[in-house]
Amino acid sequence: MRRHGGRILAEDESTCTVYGMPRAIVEADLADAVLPRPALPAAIVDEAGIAA
Amino acid sequence: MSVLQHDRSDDYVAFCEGVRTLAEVDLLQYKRPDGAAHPVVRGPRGIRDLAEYLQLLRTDATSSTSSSTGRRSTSPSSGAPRAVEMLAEHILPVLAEAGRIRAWSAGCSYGAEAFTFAAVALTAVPGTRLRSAAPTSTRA
Repeated sequence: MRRHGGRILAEDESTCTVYGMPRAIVEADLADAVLPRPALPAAIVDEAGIAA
Repeated sequence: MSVLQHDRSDDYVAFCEGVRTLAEVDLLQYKRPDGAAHPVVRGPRGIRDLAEYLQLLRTDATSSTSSSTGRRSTSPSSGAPRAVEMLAEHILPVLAEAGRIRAWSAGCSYGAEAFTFAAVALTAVPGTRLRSAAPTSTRA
């Protein structure tokens, strides 16, 4: 994803059901942002360039 | 990682029930019809079978519970909204207003996430038209 210009949002451990895949992203230092679940919708919409 | 032995159906079911107790994730959805081989389960090096792996997971959960965060990493947060609801209420309708949505499900196995995403889109965004793309291998 990075190589193709994508940005990566990872869910914070505090709200994860299973902190497996997000942990892998975070530990690989690939996350552009690490956010709790309630903050993700606004962040996704923002990344898409849409004013919430 | 190593492939864990689970020749008996009971072993696999017991493992799935243990994981469900720990993480509220139902791996029995991956159970195949009677007579067919169960899915391959891979575990950490040194772990020989599903019973050992489940014991390790229980130990990890216990130590994580007693950590300074006071929360198991495998436990759902009681106050967090469900991801599907957030997708339906706060993400897809907003993105759809701006135009076409393209979604990619990484390593989705038999397609659970992709099909769920499609079902949520059909429900949450009136007039949704789905187009599927061919699976793409990311393994170089």
